Amino acid sequence: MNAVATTTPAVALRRTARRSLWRRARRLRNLTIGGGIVGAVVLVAILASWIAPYDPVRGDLNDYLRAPGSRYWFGTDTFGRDVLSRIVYGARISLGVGAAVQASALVIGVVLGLLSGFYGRWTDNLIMRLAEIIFAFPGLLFAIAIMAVIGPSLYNVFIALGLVSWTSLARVVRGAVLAVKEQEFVEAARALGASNRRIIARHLLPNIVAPAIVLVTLGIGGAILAEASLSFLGLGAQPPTPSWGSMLTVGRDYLTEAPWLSIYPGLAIFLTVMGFNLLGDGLRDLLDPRMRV
Amino acid sequence: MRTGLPAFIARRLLLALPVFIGVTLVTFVLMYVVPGDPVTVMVEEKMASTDPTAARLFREKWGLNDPLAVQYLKFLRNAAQGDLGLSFRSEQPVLNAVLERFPATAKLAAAALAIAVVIGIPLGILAALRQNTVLDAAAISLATFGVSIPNFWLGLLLIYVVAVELRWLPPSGYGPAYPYLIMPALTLGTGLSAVIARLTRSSMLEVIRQDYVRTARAKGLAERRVVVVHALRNAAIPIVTIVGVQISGLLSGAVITERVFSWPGVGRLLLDSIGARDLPVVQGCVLFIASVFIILNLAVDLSYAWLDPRIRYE
Repeated sequence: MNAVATTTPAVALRRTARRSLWRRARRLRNLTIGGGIVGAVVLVAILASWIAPYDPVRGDLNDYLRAPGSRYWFGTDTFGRDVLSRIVYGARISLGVGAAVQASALVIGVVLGLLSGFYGRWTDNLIMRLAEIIFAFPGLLFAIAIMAVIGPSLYNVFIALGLVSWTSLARVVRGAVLAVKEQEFVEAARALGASNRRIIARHLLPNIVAPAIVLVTLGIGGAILAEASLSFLGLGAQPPTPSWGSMLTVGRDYLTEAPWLSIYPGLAIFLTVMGFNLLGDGLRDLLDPRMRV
Repeated sequence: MRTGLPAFIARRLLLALPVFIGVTLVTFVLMYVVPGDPVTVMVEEKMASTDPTAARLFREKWGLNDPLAVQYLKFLRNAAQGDLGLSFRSEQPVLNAVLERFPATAKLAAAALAIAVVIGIPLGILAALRQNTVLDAAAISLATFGVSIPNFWLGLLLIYVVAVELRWLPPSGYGPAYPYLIMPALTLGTGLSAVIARLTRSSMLEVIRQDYVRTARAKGLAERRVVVVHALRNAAIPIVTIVGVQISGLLSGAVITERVFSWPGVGRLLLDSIGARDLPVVQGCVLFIASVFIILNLAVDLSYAWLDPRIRYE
């Protein structure tokens, strides 16, 4: 008998598992690079008002289309506004849209996936057919059609993208429910009198955490790109909101005289989206290597 | 058996019906639930009149006073006969306007797909054959770049570097000559080529260790024949599947690419009509693109049997 044992074997095992997860995480290059980029963008968004050297919305018309230099690192736009400051504040919009769209996708996806998997029959049929229809149709085009009708605004971007982004999550949740539903431990829990809510919370949700984290991370990148696309087409954020996509709309018209209006906001979108893609891929390698394509 | 083919096609088209109905219903219903009456705005802009009778006459003329359900059923009935209604703006049939623009979009999408396949598949094969080498790492990095780069930004960069600075190609526009097509196709095809490269790599890595590939090598076949005939054909099904899934991205991307390069396709017609609140044309474009999408996906499904004769359509 070991009388001085301060940790139970289970706790020690969990600790070892956590440590080895951390060790593996540090070796995954996509995870560390992606995490670094995303972390940096999040910091910029949070600290925007301290980082940005100028006001993102008000400019000085005397500084109309100044080339990048020591005063304005990324140049100025047609209203004499500092491009760098607009990009810094734009991080808030991009991350905000990405997070809001994926949050709503998560809620809709988990609820519909649970309903679908648990109740089966016509509920399942209805929800999964709906998901198929939405999944099958070009998502951005669908969003464009919705925006065309409800009108361009950042708020409407949330609605349009939220409506088309939940399908993969719903499928994953439904799959997890079906896989777990018939297992003996769920039956045992039910026999012991566990309620549906308890079974969902204790036995189902833990099984979908890993794939959900991966899908949401990749989804944030996708939503940021979609918002930028809609705003580039003039269907998203409206002036003077400093959205990276709408900055490029102006950039297109001044490509010859002021290429910096196109180069820097695009670079911001590119790096951020790549950060989320790398992070999502890395998380998948870490948490669920079977999902790897 | 091949006899199952017509039935398979018929069933697939039948399954596409809910997609059509869903798409039309959404655009139709949304038009009416939103605050701000598009007709009033249209009339005000077009006729420069705030006279309520003008709006009333407009509604009567276009049958916009009928109950929504009646209007919707009328629209469906006409659409089934190939009549997508008349444009508010030009008063010309919507279908003609869309068909007129379609060849430009088809040309762009086909060229983009060709570029994606020509870059993506060799890159993926090369990365798989040289797994864990510098070449592999370079291919993976390139693919990550390609997946993440916003196509409108890539388009703008191409215009700036290739057209403005180097003056090698025309910056935008549409002409019978190929120079106009190169940059838009590259812009639209890059993302897809990255997706194809990633998938080709992983799919090839799986088959390349199979016994039949080893057998082919043992028989003394040339490496090229082993790779192309024995490995690639077996790796092809997931690649074709992903191309099918990505067609939707290609069509959405075409809308953006057409905007960047002022390419006169269906996508630009759609955007112009959104700007002008020409709702019949908006709806016509969306419906038309959805139809093209469904037909292309059916073609992808049918290609499985050619790639893998074990697959039967029942």
